[in-house]
Amino acid sequence: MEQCSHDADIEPGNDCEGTIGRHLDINDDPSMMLRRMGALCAALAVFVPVGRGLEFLEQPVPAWYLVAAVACAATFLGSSLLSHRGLLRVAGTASIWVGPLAIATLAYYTGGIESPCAWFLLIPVFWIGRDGQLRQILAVNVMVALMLGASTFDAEPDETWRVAVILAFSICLSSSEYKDYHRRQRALAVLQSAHDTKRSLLVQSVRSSENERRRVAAEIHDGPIQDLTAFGYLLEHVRVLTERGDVEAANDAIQELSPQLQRNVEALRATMSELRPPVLDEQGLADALSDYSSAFGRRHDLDCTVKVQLRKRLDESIELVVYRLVQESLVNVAKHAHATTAAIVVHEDNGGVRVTVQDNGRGFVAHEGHEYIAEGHFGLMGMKERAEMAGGTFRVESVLGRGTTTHAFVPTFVPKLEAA
Amino acid sequence: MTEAVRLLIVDDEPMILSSLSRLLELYPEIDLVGTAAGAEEAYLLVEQLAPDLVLMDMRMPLVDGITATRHLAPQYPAMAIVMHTAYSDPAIVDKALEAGATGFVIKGSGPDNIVSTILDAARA
Repeated sequence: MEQCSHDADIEPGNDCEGTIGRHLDINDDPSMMLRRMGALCAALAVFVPVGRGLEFLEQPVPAWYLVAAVACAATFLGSSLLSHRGLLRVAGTASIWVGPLAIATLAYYTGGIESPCAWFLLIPVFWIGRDGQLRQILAVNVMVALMLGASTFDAEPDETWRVAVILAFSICLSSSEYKDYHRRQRALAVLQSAHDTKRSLLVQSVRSSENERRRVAAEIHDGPIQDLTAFGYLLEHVRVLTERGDVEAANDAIQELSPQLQRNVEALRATMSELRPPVLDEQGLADALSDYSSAFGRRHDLDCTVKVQLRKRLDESIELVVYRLVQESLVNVAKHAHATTAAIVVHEDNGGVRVTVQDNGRGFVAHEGHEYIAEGHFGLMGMKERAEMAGGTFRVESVLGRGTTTHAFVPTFVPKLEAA
Repeated sequence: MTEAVRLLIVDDEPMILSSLSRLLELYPEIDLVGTAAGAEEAYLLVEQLAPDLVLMDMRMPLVDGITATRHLAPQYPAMAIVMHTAYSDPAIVDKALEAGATGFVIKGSGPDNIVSTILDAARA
């Protein structure tokens, strides 16, 4: 099953069952076929002595038995030696038809049943399709069992126990097949769920990326575009004054330009830093959080403390997630909490990083999931999505009048993407 | 002599208001009667000052320029409204004209272009 799931490529737009389901054909699983072959061969090996007793050794081998035994052995060898999927499928399919027929004919022969009931076994041979194969297996084995069971009424008294053995073996074989089928269905369900989650996360990721772009575009419009436009007007002002010969006024206007330009460069630098802080790449998470929280605290009159306990630097994608979670958390505190302090703690725990931000603000009635949006807590929803996209978790604790604490957990394992 | 166009500039960005005011004050064809930092202030000043033309910023917080234009245009049909914006998207131009604007000036245009657009709109 594991081999089948690795080899199958999920086709875009298809669900797992549509793509991988084809590969869950029981004929495609070599181990499954080998087990079936082994069971049938064992059945044959058991049935003959059980059915015939020691007399078998003194009698010529019946033709029916020879045909069935050779066919089963051939399929067993075929699945063992051959690796081509097409041939395995043929071998496996043959085993479904031949195996139960072998049991049925052997039972017919050794059970002493003078009845055409065995011919009903041909009916499942014509069933096709994935589910049809399961029905085929179950029907064949159950019908064999029923037939043998019914045959106890016809069998000689001393053959009843032999028939009972065949009946029990057939039921066991059916049960084993059925259990395998359900195991595969459960595995398929797990795979489908993982595929759906992956798709959902991809959609979320694209949406977040577009939202971020929209935000940056708005910031550029509201900031640098306006400032540069104003500078353009001021320069035009200087030009017109110069053209008119009012040099003194032109000089005064130029004097004002330089400090304004400096302020705008600082503002642009701050925007750039918010987008991608250089200190995060150069010096790591602890310094980046310390710098950010200090600057943020000064701007918003908030006493921020930072405690980072990491043994070594994390993967840059994880560091960025943690940095953004703290950023968004502090923005939330500044916007809604009416707090005077914010304590940030980042520490390693159990295969991941725990990020806690606690404020002493007014608190609120904490909800879960979509209720964040309904209550207008878009920042919290954004943090939840960010943590979950990184494979982590997020929750909020808050008590009215006693502050709020956000808890995020981000796993530190980052799977490597294979080159296409 | 043609009278100067009485102009009211509306923009939420203080630097724009200041720099544009200083620039347009150099042109005798334009009489800058006031500036407003938002739509609500604009409504008051339009009623008090009765300008010939309003140079309206498109993108403002709370009430944007198109909404303000939609509010003012029917009440003051003789007054011209020229949109002042960083966007040059045709869809936005259409939206502004539908709201009642009579002209369009891209932010950062040269003063000659701004002045001629204002004069053309005011005298139309």
